[in-house]
Amino acid sequence: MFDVNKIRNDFPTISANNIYFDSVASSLTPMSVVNSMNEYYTKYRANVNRGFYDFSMKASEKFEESVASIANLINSKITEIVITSNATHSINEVALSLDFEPGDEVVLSTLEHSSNMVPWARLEKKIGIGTRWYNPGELGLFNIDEFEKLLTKKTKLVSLTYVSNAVGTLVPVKQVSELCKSRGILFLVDAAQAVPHMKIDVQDIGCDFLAFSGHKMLGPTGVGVLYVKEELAESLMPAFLGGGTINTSGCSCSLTDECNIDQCNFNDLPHKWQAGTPPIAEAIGLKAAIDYLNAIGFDDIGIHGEALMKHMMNGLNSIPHVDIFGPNEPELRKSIVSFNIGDLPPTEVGRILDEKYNIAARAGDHCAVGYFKSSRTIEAPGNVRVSLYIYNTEEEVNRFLNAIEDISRVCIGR
Amino acid sequence: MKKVFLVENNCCGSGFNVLLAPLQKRLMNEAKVEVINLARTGDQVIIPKEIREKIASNGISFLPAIFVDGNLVSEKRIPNLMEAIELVQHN
Repeated sequence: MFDVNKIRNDFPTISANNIYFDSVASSLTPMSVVNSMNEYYTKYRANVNRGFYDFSMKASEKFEESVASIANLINSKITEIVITSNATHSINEVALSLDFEPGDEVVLSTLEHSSNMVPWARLEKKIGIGTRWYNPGELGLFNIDEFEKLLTKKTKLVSLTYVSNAVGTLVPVKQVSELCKSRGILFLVDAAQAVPHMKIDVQDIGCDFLAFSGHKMLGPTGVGVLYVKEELAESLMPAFLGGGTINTSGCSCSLTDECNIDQCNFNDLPHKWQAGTPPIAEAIGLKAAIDYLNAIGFDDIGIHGEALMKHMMNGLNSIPHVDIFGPNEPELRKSIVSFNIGDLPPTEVGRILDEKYNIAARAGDHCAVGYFKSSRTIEAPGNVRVSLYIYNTEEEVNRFLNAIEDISRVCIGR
Repeated sequence: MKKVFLVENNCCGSGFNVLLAPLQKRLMNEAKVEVINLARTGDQVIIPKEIREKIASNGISFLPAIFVDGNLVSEKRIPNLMEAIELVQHN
């Protein structure tokens, strides 16, 4: 197991006075990531894959190393990795790149983050696709047989989160993938809350697309990843085209106003999908984050998260008036616990945690409005959410539990 | 029973409303809690004497404020729920 106190020294915003329990929103960033980005900006600042001079060659090499590192992380080919700005961008790119027809259906779940809801709502309005929603209920646990009933001949795509950002439960993506394959349905996995905490293998999952964000896994903001299975990356026309995507020297038209896209060849993968200048420093920073996580090891990351989760849930379950959302079994979640204290407004609980106890926790609907609106038993407009990561300690969890006990006692009473 | 007034001049935001119900519930045996929002009062509203006097002498710059039995116990901010409960219980 890793030494969490040693880890904490690597994170400049961590202090003994403040507790950061909002890594689901955005994780903290170790100095190695910051240093790698500074090194790019101060030592070899240039664009990538565009120049033949020393700085550009070095920047290109570092960028390609990042892409390779990402591919290795999720067991994909380099040709299947697109650098985006975040998971939201990645999901939107899939939505806009697929050739939907009116009447095509996309199947989602009520656990989805709005980033995996709104792009499809847009296509409902623009193209006339339909959406069908699987509701796993208040516990957030999937029943694969019930889910299968939503798939029809019109289903073109299933798009699901791997780990719910509202309750932390896991979706059986491998089983969903098998269902989709047997029916010729494409499958997109929103892995934003999964990649930071567990080893992901896109071959094992069998998905066609996978999206995640760098800033939730110790990386910088402004970088994300879209995995596109190679045959799809070859056959689809990307939504975003521009510099670097087309082989301009290979265009068969001689005059600009005679050109259309069919007369040009796309560049080799993955460049076909990488329009314009990518977030270079951020991609280099993401590699540093991946290196940091790999050095700890995802097995140990999982063990640490599970131990803290168990301690957190046991503690919360013993405090009067605390109502935990989702399953009570810690092993059915990934590092996220959300709860309310009686009918106290969650925003007030979040405010008290911050102002009196210096604990950063998220309060509200966490952009998972479908979960709160769809459950018949949930009347709360949201809840308080805490998330645990590699730099959190048992002592922090104890301080948090004491704070919740105080809040329950003072604000609700006996 | 203590008389608690949460006084504000708030046209648009949630203001003291977010605290009202939980305060009333928590303090139901100890205090009667009401909101007076100067920006949303109708033509007929009874503003207690001590609050009128404070406004007359200081203007409304001290708002949002909490009065407990006529005494100003908090001003210029909306306390969080825990602070508000403790202010009422300790004054």
